[in-house]
Amino acid sequence: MNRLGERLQPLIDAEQRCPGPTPEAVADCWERIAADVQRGSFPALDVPPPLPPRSPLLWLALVVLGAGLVGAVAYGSRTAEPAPVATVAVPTPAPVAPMLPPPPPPAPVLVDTPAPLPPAELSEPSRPAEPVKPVAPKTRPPRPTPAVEQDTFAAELRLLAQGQAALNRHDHAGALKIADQYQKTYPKGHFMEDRDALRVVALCGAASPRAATAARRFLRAYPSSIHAARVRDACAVPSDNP
Amino acid sequence: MPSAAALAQLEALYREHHGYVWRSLQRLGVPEPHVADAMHDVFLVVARRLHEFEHRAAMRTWLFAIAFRVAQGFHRDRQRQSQREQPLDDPDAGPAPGTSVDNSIALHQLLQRLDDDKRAVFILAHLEGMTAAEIATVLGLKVPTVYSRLRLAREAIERALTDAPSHSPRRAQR
Repeated sequence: MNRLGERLQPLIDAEQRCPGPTPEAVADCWERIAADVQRGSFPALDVPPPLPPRSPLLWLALVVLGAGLVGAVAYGSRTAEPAPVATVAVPTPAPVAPMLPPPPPPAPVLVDTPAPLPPAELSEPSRPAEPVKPVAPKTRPPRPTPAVEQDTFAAELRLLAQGQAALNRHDHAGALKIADQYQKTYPKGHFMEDRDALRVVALCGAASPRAATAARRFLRAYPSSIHAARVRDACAVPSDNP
Repeated sequence: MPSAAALAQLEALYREHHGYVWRSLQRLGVPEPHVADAMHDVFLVVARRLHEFEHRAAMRTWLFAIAFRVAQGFHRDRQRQSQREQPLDDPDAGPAPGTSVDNSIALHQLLQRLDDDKRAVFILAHLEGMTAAEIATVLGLKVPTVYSRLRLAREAIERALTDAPSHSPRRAQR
């Protein structure tokens, strides 16, 4: 390898010293490029720009956080702790209060506290707790509950996944409803870009009259979004017209 | 219709990188008379996608990937067209020795002994100094494939350097 490098080096050095294109050729080439760009005549070849290094790390972080949160929820339900995430549906009757804020039995004692309560408030069951004998085999010391921010993180992800599933089913109205729900529940959520993409694609899928404007606004707001290509495809926006 | 700002951005990019693109196309085997056309195509591909480019990624990496595809297309077209034509550059013809231009030609002729895929890997590894992982990203390959192509390319170049004394640096430096 080194020998090869040594033998190649003089050739490489010579190439570097070699004059490149003449200034006339450079200027002429630029004029042709500028004219074609203005005319919008592009070659068939398309090579998308490389993804910045952030992207894989972000997804890795999402996966790790999601897995950690699911583990925490499962662990919480086994150790009779109040579940950290309010929206996970647990089919078996939990020994403590249900995960979701139960709509049917509103606590008659409290004045008018609305349904969504912080997890700590749910720890007191509205009915007497049953004995905890079924969960005996694996009892671990209770772990600290995950931060509230992480809870909404996973719940946001789940909601968006439901929206995506609705899109996959071509249920555009359902996807729009989920995008609205996301906006209402998490007005400053972690995935506003993804929410907007969901909404735009759903609008375009439903052939809404607002679709074109929404698509243009999305592409202007997030020109380098990972969803840009999808939005363009769904809304038939030409790639040179953000 | 692109905005004036977009066109100005493209022009700045062109001014900064046209030399690199020109040299890469030559190394990738595009003959001198066709390099300007190929460069024109490269920057049109850039123009279409420039708004998506995030400046944390390396621009040259992208430019090389485009140049590679353009050169591949050029070679395919040329193969189709010129069954009877004499090739513009005969890889086996040794360069006239003596000047740095000759040495430069010698380098390009050496590279032409490789097929497109091995040539790109060899250029990125030996002339651009990239790691196997970076090359894999640029060319959309798996890292083991990069290593295997690089090994074959090195063998071919070693053989060429040994077989053709006119390509050797000693002769060329005379």
